[in-house]
Amino acid sequence: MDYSRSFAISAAGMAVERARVEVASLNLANANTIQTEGTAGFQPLRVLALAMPANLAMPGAFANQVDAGLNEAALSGWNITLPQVAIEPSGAQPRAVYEPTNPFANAKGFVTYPGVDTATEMISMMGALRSYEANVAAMNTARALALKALDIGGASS
Amino acid sequence: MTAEAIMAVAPVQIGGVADGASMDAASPALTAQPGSALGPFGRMVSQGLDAVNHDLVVSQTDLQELATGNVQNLHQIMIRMEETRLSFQLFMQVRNRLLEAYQDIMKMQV
Amino acid sequence: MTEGIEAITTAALGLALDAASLRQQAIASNIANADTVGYEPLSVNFETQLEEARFAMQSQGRLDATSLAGVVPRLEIDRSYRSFGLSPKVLLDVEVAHMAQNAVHYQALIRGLSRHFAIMSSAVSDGKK
Repeated sequence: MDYSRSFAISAAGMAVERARVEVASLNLANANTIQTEGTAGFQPLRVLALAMPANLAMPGAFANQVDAGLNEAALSGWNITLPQVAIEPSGAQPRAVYEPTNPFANAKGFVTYPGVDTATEMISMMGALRSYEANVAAMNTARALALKALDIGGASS
Repeated sequence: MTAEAIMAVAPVQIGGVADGASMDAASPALTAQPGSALGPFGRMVSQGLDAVNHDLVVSQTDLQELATGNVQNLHQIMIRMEETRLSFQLFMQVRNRLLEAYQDIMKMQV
Repeated sequence: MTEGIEAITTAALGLALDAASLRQQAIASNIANADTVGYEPLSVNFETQLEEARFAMQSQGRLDATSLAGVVPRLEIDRSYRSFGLSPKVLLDVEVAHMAQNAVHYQALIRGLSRHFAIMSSAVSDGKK
């Protein structure tokens, strides 16, 4: 077991979940901003996690060091794919709310808000939290395995 | 040092092994006089010494690999180190018993 | 004890322990400055200096004393972000994973070194405690 690789893999997973939480909180914070005429306003974002081979991923995902640590002789034919985060606009349609007294209302009395679905963002945050905990549990287990391996032959000396 | 230290403290000449042996750890093969003064017991002991030396060298190279950052098989390294330690201690006990036996014999009044 | 393979092993383990403790300091600095504007993450350059030594080890089976000469663990700025055109930023998850891995590696080195010395001390003390 190569414990350095296990940690790198869990770290990549945790980075994805953290990105998810950041994007969800950004969407929620901007959920009620008004889109004035002539400006684009806030575009809701979403996170796409793609599985990339380790040597193609960005250094932020720690994947280059994972690849550098691979011993070709021992791992021929075993490709590690790590999640790679891409953040892009979700393309959700803005929602129009009828508020004739609002100074930013258009000719028909509608005010446009970004198409952020609060319930969806909350659920994605909860899912990201559980996934993050699972990744942390995986990393702690890998660490416990390595430390127990050190105990072979007696706890000390 | 490993097997050199043993030979340095063990005055027992087991079939001429101590004389002709160059216990350099770089050459684990024992360079004893080929079979001339070695009885079967001497050969057995020298084979055991070879095995212990080989184990020690293997655990040293394992530790060097760990130091240079090759951490593929941590459990393998620990298992081999424990085996090395046990075989080394067994060899030390064998050497102690042989020494005691030799001293017992030398105490006998002619 | 000053010649032979034991000295090389002890020296190599000592160097690796130096690198691990320096790495711990670098990671602690990165974590403490995670939100600092304009902070460039630090890393330790040690394993890359041992590339030649590793190749030599695969062919010869053991480490050569000369390949350890001049290998010094040193702090350097982490350049891996620049090659992708990103501004340097500390990713907390990655740093914590580094820290956990470094801690395990340090303990493994310590355990290996103490077992190594235990075997030698049992030889020196004639197998008696």
